[in-house]
Amino acid sequence: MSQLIVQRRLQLVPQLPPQSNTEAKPQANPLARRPLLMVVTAALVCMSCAPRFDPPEDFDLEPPTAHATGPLSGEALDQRRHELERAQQDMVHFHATLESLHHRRDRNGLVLFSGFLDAYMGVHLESLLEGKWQSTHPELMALDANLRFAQAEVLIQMRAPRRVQAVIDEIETRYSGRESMLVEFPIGRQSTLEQGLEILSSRKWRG
Amino acid sequence: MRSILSRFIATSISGMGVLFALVDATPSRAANPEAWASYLDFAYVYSSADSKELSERLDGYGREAGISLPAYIASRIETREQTSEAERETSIRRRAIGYLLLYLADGKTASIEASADAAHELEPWLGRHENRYWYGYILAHYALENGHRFDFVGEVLELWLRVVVPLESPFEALQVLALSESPNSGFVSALPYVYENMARLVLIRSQQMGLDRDLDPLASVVRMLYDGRVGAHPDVIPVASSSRDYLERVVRRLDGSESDAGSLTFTLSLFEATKYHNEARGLLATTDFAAPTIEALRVATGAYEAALERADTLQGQTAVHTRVLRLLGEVYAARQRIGEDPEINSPFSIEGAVEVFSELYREGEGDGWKVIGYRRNGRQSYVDAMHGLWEEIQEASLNAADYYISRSVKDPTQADEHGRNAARLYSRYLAFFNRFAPSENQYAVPDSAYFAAHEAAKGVGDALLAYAANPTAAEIELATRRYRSAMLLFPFDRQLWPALTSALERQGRQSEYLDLVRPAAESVTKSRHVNSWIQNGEPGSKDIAQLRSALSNSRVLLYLGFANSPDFDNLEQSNVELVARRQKIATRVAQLTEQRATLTGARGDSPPASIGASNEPSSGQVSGLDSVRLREISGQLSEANNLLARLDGQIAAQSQALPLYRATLETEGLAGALRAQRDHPVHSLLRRMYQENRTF
Repeated sequence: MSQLIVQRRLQLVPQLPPQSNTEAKPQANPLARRPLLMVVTAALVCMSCAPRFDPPEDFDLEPPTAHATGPLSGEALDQRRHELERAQQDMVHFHATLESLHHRRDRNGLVLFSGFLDAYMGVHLESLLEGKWQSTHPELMALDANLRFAQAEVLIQMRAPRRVQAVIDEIETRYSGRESMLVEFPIGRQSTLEQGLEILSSRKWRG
Repeated sequence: MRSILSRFIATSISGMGVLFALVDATPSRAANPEAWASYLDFAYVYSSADSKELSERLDGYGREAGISLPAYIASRIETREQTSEAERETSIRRRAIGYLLLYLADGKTASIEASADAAHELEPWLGRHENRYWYGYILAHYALENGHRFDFVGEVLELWLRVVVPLESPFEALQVLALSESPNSGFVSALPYVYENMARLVLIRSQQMGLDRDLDPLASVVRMLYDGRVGAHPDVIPVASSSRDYLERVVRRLDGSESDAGSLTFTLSLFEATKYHNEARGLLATTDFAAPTIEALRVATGAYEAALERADTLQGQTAVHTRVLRLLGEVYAARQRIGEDPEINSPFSIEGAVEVFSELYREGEGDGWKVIGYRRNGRQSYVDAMHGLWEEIQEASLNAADYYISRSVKDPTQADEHGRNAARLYSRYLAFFNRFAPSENQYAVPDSAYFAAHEAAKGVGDALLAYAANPTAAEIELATRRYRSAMLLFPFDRQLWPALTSALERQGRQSEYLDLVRPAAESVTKSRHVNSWIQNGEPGSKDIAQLRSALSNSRVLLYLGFANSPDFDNLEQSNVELVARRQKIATRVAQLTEQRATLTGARGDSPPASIGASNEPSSGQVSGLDSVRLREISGQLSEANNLLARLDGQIAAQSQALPLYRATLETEGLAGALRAQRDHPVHSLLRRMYQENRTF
C-alpha cells in the first residue's frame, strides 16, 4: 500500500505548478485551467487520506503546498481569495473571543485559547501569508494586507508586542510605496495602510 | 458492499433524515456482517443523533448485518488478526468508532473508555485527517464524560486546528469541480458533517453532560461554525436537519444585549434556563399548579440561579433578572387566574431586580456601559437592556398587585390586608418610577413606563378606596392624590374621573372637583405634543382629538366626574324632559301674559311673554280686587320667565356637552390597547406629555 502511494505521488509531482513568486499570465480559456486544479486537488486529497509511512531519508520529493505556490488566475485564484477572506473573518472571531476573555478576566480561558491561536498562526496562517506574490497581486493584495492587520490585532490582544512589531515590519516591507491603499483596520472600519500602521504602532503595547 | 456505499453517498446528498428513512425502508436481506465496516466508516453521518434514535439505528443496522454491533466488534475486530499496518489502522479506528457509538446509544462509561483506549492506539496514524477527527471527537466525549472541561475545550480546538482548517481548502476545490460527492473524495467530503457534529458537540452534548463553565474559548468556534459553515451545504445536510437555527440563536445571544460580554458558558446556561422556563410555562397553562408544574418552576428558577452564577458582568446579571422576572410575573398572573397560592421559593425578587437596574443605571453612565459588558453591542444595546429590565419590573409589580386585588375580592374578610398589600406594591413601582423618570438621564425609562405609572397610581386609589374595607382618613387622602397623579399621567382614562369624585365625596370635598381636575384637562388642551399628534394624524389621533374637545368643556368635565357612563341614556332622557318642561313653562308664560293683558286692558300692546316687556301694570289702569290679582299674575309670570331662562340655559348646555361626553364613551378602548401593547405608539405621546408638564 505504501509503495503504491509513493508511486502515485511521484507521478503527480511533475504535473504540479512550479513554485514561483512571479505572476503568471491569466489563461484565456477557463476550461483549460481545470485539469491543473484537479491535479492539485487530487494530490491534496490523496495526501489527506494517506496512511502514515516513512519516506527514504535521501529521497525528498514532497510536492510544494498550495499555499507556497502562486495560483495567479482562474479558480485557483478564487480559492486563494476565499482562503484569505475566510482567514481574515476567522481572525475577527478570534479577536472577539479574546476581547471577551480579557473583559471577564478569564485567565484559564486565555491560556487555553492563546495556545490554540499560536498553533493556528504557526500551522495555518504563516504558510497562508508566506508567498510574497500575493502582496503584489492586484486582486489579492488588499486581502493579504487586511489579514496581516487582523493578525496584528489578535496579537495585540495576546499581549505579544514583539510579534506585533514583526507584523508591522513585514507590512512596511511588503507594502512600501503603497501606504495610501485602503485596509480594513481597525476591525470593522477602514483606514489607509499608513494610518493603520500608525494605529498599530501606538496600540501594540496596550492589548 | 456496493449497495451500502451507494446508500451512504445518497445520504451525503440528502442528509441524515433521509438516511434513516432509507434504512427503515430497506427490507431485511441475507446476513452480511461486513456491512458494519461501512456503517462504521461513515458513522460521522449519524453519530450526532440523539441516543434513542441512534440506538434504534444501530439495532436496525444489526438486523441488516445479521449481527449486533457489540458482537461485530468482539468477533470481527477485537479478535481478527490484521495482516498489514493499514488493516491494523482501519481496525483500530473502527473499534474506536464502534465503542463510541455504543456509548452514545446507551451511555455506558465502559464503552467510552474502550473507545478512548482505541483512539489512543490511533496516535501513530494521526496524520490522516479521518483518524485525527475520530481521535479528537472521541476524546472530547471522554472529557465530557469525566467532567474534564479544559480537556474538552482543548480537544475541540484541536479538532478545529488539525481537521477543519486543513480540510477546508480541499473541500472547496472539490466542490468547484463537483467532486465533493465522489466516493474517491475520501474524508474531505465529510467536512459538512464535521461542522455539524462539532456544533452539536459544543452546543448540545456539552449541556446534556452538564458542562456549565469554562467553555468560553469555544465561542470563536461557534462563531466560525455559524459564519458560512453549518447550514451552508444544503445539498449534503438540509438546513432544516442541521443545527443552523439553534446556532444562529446562540450567536445572536452572544452578540446581543442578553449576553455576558460574549461568554458562551453564560449564553448556553441562559438557554438552558429559558428551556426550563418554557416547559414550566407550558405546564402552567395546561395543568395549573399541579405537582409537575411546581417542580418545573423550581427547576427553572434553579437554572436561572445557575445562569446568574455564571454572569461575570452586569450585562449578564441584567439578562437573567429580566427573564426571571417574566417568570415571576407569569406565576402571579396564574395565581390570579387559578385562584391558588402555592408556595414557590425563589431567590429572585422585584427588589433585587430594582437594585440591579439601579446599578446598571449608575455604572453605565458616561462610557461606563462599555465596561459593564456592552462594548461590542453598542450603547443602544445597553439602553435596550435597561428598558427590558424596567418593563419586567413594571409588569411583575402590576401583576403581583393585581393578584392581591383579586384576593381581596375573593376573601372579603381579608380585603383590608390584601388591598393594602396591593397598594404597597403599586407604591413601590411609583417610587421606582419617580426615582428615574424625572431625571436628566430619562433614556433609561421605556415609553411604556408612563402608562404603567398611571396604572399603579390609579391602582393605589382603587386598592384603598374600592377594595380595602375600612380605609383611614390618611389613606383616603392618599388615594385622592394618587387619582390626581394618574389623571395627569394619562388624562384619557374615563374611569378615573368618577373615581376621583367618589374619593372627594368621602372627604366631603366634591366642591373642589373642578379645581383638582382642571390641570389634568389643561395638560391635554394646552399641550403642543397633543396638538401636533392630532395634526400629524398619528395613531389614535381621532380618539385623542375627541377627548381633547371634551376636556376643553368644563360641563363635560362635570359629566365625566359626576355621571357614570351607564347613565348616558338617562342624561339624554333628562334632556328630552327638559325640552318638554320648557314647552310647558312657555305655554304657562303665554297664558299668564294673556291674563295680565286682560286685566290691564293692554292686550295686544306687546307680544305675550316677550323678553323685555314690562310685567308691571301702569298705575291707575286697575284698582281694587283686580289690582291684587294683577300683582299675583305678575309674580307668577316673573317666576315662570326666570324658570324658562334657566331651562333654556340647561338645554343649550346639555345640547353642547352631551355629544362631547358621548364621544368620550367611544374612546375607552385606548387604555386597554396601551395596557396590552408595550410598543403602542401612544406610549411615546404620554412620555412627551409627562416631560411637557414638568417644564411648567
